[in-house]
Amino acid sequence: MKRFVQCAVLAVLFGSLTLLTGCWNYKEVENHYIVSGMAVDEGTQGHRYHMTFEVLDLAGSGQNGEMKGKLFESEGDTIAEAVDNASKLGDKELYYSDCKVIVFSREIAEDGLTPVLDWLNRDPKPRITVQAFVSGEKTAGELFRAGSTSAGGGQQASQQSNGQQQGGVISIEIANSMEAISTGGRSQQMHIYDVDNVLLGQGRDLALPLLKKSGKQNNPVEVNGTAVFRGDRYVGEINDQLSQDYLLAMSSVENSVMVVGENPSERNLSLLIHKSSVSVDPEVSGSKISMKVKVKLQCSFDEENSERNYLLDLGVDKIENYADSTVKTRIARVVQQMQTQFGSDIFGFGRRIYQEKPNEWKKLKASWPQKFRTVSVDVEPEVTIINAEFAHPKGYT
Amino acid sequence: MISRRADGYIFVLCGQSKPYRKNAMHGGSGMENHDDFGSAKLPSEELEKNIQYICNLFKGDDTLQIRRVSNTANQGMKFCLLYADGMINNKLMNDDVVRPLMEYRFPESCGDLVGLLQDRVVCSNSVERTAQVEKVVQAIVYGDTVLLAEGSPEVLLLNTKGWTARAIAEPESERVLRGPREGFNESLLMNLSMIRRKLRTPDLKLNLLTFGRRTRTKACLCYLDTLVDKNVLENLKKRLSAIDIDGTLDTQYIAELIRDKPYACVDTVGSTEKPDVVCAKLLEGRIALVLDGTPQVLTVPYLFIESFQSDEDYYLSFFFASIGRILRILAFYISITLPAVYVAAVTFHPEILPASLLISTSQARQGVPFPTILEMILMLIVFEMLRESGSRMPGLMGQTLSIVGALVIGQAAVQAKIVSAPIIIIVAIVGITGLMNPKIKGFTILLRFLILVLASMLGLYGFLFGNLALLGLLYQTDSFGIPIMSNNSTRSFQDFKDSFIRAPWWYMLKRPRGLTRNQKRQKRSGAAK
Repeated sequence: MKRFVQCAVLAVLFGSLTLLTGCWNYKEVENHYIVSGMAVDEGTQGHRYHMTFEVLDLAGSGQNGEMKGKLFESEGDTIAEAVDNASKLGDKELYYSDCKVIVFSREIAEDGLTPVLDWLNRDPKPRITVQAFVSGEKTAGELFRAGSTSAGGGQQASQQSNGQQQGGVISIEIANSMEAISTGGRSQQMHIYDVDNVLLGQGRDLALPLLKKSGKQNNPVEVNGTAVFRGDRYVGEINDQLSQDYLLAMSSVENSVMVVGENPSERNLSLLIHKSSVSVDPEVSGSKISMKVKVKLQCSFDEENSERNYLLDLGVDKIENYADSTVKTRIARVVQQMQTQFGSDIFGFGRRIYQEKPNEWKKLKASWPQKFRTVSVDVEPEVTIINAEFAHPKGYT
Repeated sequence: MISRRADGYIFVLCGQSKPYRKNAMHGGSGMENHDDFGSAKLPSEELEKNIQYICNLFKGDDTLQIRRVSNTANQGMKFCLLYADGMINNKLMNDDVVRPLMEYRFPESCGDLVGLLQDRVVCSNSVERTAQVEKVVQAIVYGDTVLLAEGSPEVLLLNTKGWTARAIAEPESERVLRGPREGFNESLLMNLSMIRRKLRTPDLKLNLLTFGRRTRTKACLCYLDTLVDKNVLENLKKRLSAIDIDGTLDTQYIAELIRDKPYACVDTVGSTEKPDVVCAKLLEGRIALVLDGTPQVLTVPYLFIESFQSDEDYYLSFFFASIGRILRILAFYISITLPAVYVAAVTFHPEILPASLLISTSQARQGVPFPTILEMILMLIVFEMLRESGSRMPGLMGQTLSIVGALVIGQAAVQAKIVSAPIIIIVAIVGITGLMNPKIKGFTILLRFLILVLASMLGLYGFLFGNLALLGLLYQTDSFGIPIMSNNSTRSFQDFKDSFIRAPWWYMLKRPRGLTRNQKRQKRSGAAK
């Protein structure tokens, strides 16, 4: 009997312990606003930052799955203060763990990204898998409003007030399209951890995708170009074509099409790139620095856009040669642009010197932005066409 | 005292209940005994007085028949047959008992009349000679005939049993696609004959026992002498002999009285309705208890993995059987843990949900008034009610009720925004997986609610604690001295071969460790390896 009483007392004690936790972290899932995108601008009312949050408005969404977004804006002297001010705006708490996109305006980027990135890295609320972009428009926040100004019946007029309705959720569209295009050689996904790796590492400058309004109804915001940084400060941008060349040098071009031709004015052969690998070998001798960039591409012959039967006339070898020269020209073009206009080593050449010849790097490190302009880049492309789709050969007898 | 053996934990169930104490083993529990005659004997040598005495015992019982017979040759010989109407085989009685009594040429004077009757006259395959009232009464109530003779204090008990029993049919709850379809029925002797037909060896020992003061139900312990573990047998016999109860109508009464850990829902005594299952278990060194009046047969000891074994596993190919077994174990685990994990993830840890799941859950819960936990508990209770109400309805109506009820209620509740759609899905999955293992249905339901409550208070920590407690309980429980998880925590492949998977027969060379000393099952198989 005594043992039974002991057991009963213990059971009651342990049972009440579980109740005393007071439901420590209990929160119903519908009582959150899920933040899907953030935008950082310069503050207008004397504060340093003006932040725009795009949240999912699930209460307004219908059964058909059409998701609507809401915007919240707040100001603050630090990012954390702006976030805190935003949390007082809506009727529900803001939930950052599913945030996908953060856009910086050019002014913020020009002042240096490091102060802004600190909150993203340190605070547990947002994850470091958020993708970073730079806005190609005047401010970053107006990108989230791009959907509401497009044509289409039933859209509400945009107003400068909090909690306004949007047509679709821009940040989710951007995040989804980055999945598609990042393997297509148009742009590179840069998560916050990628940004951290670049900034904390040596010998490489940051390059973030650039977002611009496209003026189209169903895809109001698109990635168009790359923002070039020196260190963590924004110095300029390059257009779409040069971005693709840059990615060719960074070997992120799988599943994209490269157009080659006999001469630069006659580009009518399409090669579909299956695999690409780039290796950079640095050579430092005294003050002369040169990089040997070996680009290996495995392609298949996808299209000859003319009446002439190039494949049979010229043969695979010649077409490979044309492709080699195209690759060389393209990479040389973007390297030259970087060297002359920006002086910013977005390719990571300095990093290769640091990896292969650390002693040399020690001497070069301080003056690398200047030294980078003098680096001679030697591109050695090697394009292999592994197969060709044989349609009915034209004019073959 | 909660000890590993059940010695301190057997309860006596009757009008009053008293815990079993080690000293009070012989039924001195102080309750009134109307039908314990001890060693009383019949009162006299005179026929009429004996008849009167027995009729007084059965006063009010109108089915007691008295048949007075005299012998044609010797008119002075008077006999009386007493039996209970409906319990005897009339033809047998007429041809083999009444006729010889009437026609036998008795000598003028015979010394031992009863002995003569037993040896020469009565054509019965089982005759017992006694003067004890206890035995006389038991004989009458069980369908034997009592033969009294004038001038003798002793009587003969003749075997004339002949009532009708239910035909042998396939058990409803243990259906198989392939394999024997015989099932036990309510007659002890028919059940024993089914077992005997499969194990035709003198090694098979059948010990008869009796349970229940008022029911005097006959039972039989079956085991294979060279295979069984004697310790387990002794343990079982000790526990059985300590049972002191009014009546046992089903083996469940006995099972609850002899189990280890009586308050925990973990089964330590198995039951089955099929003779081939019982014989397979006997061949592994287990002991079976067959009870008259019920088709359920107990098998002891019972390992936890047996809840997931189906007899069909051995009649189908090993691959298919292994898949089925893994599915069942997985279904058990899902049935216990899915509601708890959902509630914990959605309310305490939404970060672990992928974005699209989070969004759809959030959308589904817009406008729903109850908290997630309450929804879950409500719908689980509703589902249990539906299942319970449909389970005892005849045939088709029961199934229709369950399906219609589930669909209609679930659909309507979601549309009325009383519960959210994911809850219905989870309850449906939990219900289906719960029905896959009918043997541990009760245990599953209890565990499901306990772990759900824990998870709803402490999130995934609570879920973890629940799992740890369950594992602790399972690994701590013994079934008659043998740990019930002994098949699942072993170093040698031979013990593993029949737990999560069912290895092909050519691998099953040894019997389960722990159940028996005699391990070798087969020397070799004929299969080409």
